[in-house]
Amino acid sequence: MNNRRTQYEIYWEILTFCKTPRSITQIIQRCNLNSKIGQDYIEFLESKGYLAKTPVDNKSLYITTSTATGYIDIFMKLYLELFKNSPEFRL
Amino acid sequence: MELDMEITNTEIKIKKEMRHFMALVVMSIAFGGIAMGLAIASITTNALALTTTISNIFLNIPSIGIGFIVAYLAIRYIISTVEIFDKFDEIQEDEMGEKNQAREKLTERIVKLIALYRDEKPQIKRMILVSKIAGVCFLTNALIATVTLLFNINAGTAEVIPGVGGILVSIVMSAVGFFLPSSFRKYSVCWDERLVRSLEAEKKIASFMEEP
Repeated sequence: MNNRRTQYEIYWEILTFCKTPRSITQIIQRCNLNSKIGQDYIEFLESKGYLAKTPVDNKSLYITTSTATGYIDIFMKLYLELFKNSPEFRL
Repeated sequence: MELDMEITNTEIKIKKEMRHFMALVVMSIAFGGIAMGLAIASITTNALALTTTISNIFLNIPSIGIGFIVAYLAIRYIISTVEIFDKFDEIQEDEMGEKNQAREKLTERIVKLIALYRDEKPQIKRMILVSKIAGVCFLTNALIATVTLLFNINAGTAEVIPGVGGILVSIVMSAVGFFLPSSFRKYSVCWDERLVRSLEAEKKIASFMEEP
């Protein structure tokens, strides 16, 4: 997805994607980020305790922690609400 | 149970909205194609008329001019519409996944749609404007064709019937040219409102993140 996304949307994408352990390359590719920005986002999420490093097959992968559940839930709730009370479209 | 119902309702709403938007985009591409075809036909017909008659020179030359404007606008319109179609189609093709992932997938779709709208907002506004201009051009063309027809009313049925046909086509195209922007505007208004609400949501998310 190349489109303009806000930082919170990118955080949500990373956190949802990392529900199963992922490498930094996978995160960057999946979320369509450049490596510098991707690294910044990951570091920020790590500092918040939303992402943690986990060793898998001698590799250090990132996984979403239980602390991030609150963020993921509030994000989904607020975004789903955007479609509440919207008009029906007819041709 | 209530959450499931809410998700299903939102999913149906999004699917319906996407289908309608897609139909509008397809109509727009068809409109652009027909507009371009008619504009080229109008240029050719009027250019040929210039070589055979002198009496309608003041009507044929503006018609050629309008034809060129419409052909140019139609090309621009088709290109922008196809670009939007492509991006929109990509989102529409995403599978909704398993039921336990429905909420997540739905949110992902909303995020993609909002990002797409943020990205394509100027393009959609341009499409609304171009379509309106094309509508005005077709209406003007219909008026010019009517005046031309009135000048040649004594020319005989063989000349009058295609002329009336041309006027009717121009009127229909002009009506479509006015209908499409009004429909796109409805989406635009709704999405602008969603963007404003997403900013409010962002503030709430930001304050949630600042909580210890």
